[in-house]
Amino acid sequence: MKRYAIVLMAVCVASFATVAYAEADQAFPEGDVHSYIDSVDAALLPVNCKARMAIVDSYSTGDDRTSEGFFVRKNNRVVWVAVEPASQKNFALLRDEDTFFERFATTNKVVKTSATANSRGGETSNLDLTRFNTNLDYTVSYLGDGSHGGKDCYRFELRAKNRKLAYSLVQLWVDKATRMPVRKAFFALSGKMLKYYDVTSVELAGGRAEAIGMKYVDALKPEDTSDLRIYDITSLASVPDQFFTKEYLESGRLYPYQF
Amino acid sequence: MKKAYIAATMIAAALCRLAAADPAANATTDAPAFSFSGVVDPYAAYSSLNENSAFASVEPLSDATVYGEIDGKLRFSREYTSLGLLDFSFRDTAQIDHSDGSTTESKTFTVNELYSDLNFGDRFYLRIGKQRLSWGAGYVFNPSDPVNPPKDPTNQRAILEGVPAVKVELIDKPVSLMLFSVLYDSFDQFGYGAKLSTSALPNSDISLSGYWSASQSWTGALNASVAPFYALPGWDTIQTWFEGGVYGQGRYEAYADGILPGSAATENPTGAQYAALFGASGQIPVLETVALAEYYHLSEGLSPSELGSVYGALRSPSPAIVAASSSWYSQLALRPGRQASDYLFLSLTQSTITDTGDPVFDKIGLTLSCLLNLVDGSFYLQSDLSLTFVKDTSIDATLAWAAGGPDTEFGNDPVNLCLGLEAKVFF
Repeated sequence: MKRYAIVLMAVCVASFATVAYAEADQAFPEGDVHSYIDSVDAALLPVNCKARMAIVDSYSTGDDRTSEGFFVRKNNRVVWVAVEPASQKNFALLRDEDTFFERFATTNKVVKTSATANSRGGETSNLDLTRFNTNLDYTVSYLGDGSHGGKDCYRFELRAKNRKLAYSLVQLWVDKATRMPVRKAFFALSGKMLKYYDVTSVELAGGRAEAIGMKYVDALKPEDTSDLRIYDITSLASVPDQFFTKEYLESGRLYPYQF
Repeated sequence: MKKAYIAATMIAAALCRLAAADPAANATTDAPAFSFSGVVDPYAAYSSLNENSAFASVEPLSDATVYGEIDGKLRFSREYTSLGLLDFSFRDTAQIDHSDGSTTESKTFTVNELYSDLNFGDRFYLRIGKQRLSWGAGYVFNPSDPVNPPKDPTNQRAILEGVPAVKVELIDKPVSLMLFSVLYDSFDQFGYGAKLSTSALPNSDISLSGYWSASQSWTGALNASVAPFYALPGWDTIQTWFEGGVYGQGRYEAYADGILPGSAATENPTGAQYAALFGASGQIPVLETVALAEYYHLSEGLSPSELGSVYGALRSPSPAIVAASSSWYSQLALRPGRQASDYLFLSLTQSTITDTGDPVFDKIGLTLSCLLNLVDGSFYLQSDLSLTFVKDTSIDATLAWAAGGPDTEFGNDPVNLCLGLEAKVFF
């Protein structure tokens, strides 16, 4: 009798889990979550593209810092080059999948650096500047509907595939109407929110972003923020692989396109 | 050398022009672009002279040095298909002689780099002109570099000139290949080299290189940089590197004649020589201080007794010995930080004291470094305080201290103590 009870209970649990999983999978109204997230990323930044970036770091002390740069992207590989302030001109950051390199502003020396470091300073880590392919970095699951900033959104949970990534858990709100991210919140392993960004402006053309503004906020010290604006987003037909190598950075050819 | 340099410059300029007009570049979408950047750098230094230096009687020493320098980079680019670069330094130096107070002024204009790049396809490019061939993982010494002028760890303001060269590079994964030729005055002095680099092994960058010239023999070298804990957040800033070179003949063997027979027991370095450097660095959590250490060994470096003999002879009261030893002055001057067989370099860098928006401590950076001659115990200590309160401007105060016994390398540095003040305005 006891054996039957255990078997029956196991069958019930398995059935319940299967139904729950199927419901969760089917609950996302726009089909496959993975494909949807890819389309969100693509609307934000084409897989092959170039763009300019301006960042203003603001602190509770009243101190502000501005910097500008540009980047070239090929999927999960990004070269980011600083052009302002003048003292940081020619500083470059390279993300080649999960490996990061930095090129010092005043020398040709290129060294490996960390994803979590903020070589540029401010609230944006090296990963923040180069994190454009969600599915490659995270396993995404749908959490349900929600609203943020008066917009109807889908909510997703992102779990890092790689321990090297700065944040193990991320929550993402995507505007149902435009497929544009509205908020992204970054959590520590303990579940404590460390940082978030809100999308503050989007300029769309043909369903694709031409410019986007984001405000990064330190959740532990909300007065410290970074306003990041990506603009002049231009799709490229192809991008040479050599851009994303240490050797290319060492060669000093940092201006492959006119910005 | 001069002829080759002029030829390289002309070719570089011609290629730049050719690239700009290349019909094949019509496939590109961007117009050619020029950019100009650089730094204006006035510098003043006061030195406490070392009266006990072996060089005190022969070197024109100065108590105070003032110079103004403009270092500029003019860059031409047309997408990534062609690029031209002119990197120059103009320096106007005034030195006040400590003995009579007279001032000596000198002006120098140095073309550090002048080259043109041409890309062929997405992987292959050619660079011709005066250029710095990138080499080696070491910060203070590059034993694998047979081409560029050696670094001087005691002079961070030294102008780094490139060499006239032709280089082709195939950049690909998992292996990149660089072939180059260094151009000198006569064809028989030309040098030829190759470097093979790969990042195929996880968390590592490895390169093998070789170089040969009829006048300098051959060099074989290995560079390896490894980030052993790159997968572990918090530990991923730790890096280690090795740089080793083996060469057919001693690089500093010009002193092989000896300073004077019988006066110093130096052995001529004959046959193949080697040098190796080990380094490690990491960022201290929370403090965000970057700590760096390098140890290097030169097979042709002098032993303690040899160093003592050399400096003893240079300070000899006998005019005959001093006269016969004079060739040593130039040889030793050529190799700061490479006279002995073993050295240790330590450095701590705090780029800013805080990074929290503090209006004062966010603008202050500190660096402390020490080059220790492990053979004779002498050392060269340098500290740097950097203030960046004004945008695009940096005020740097440096203090350098050379110390050691009477027959040691840094004990014979012509300057005991040097206090420098520098303002850099970036544009």
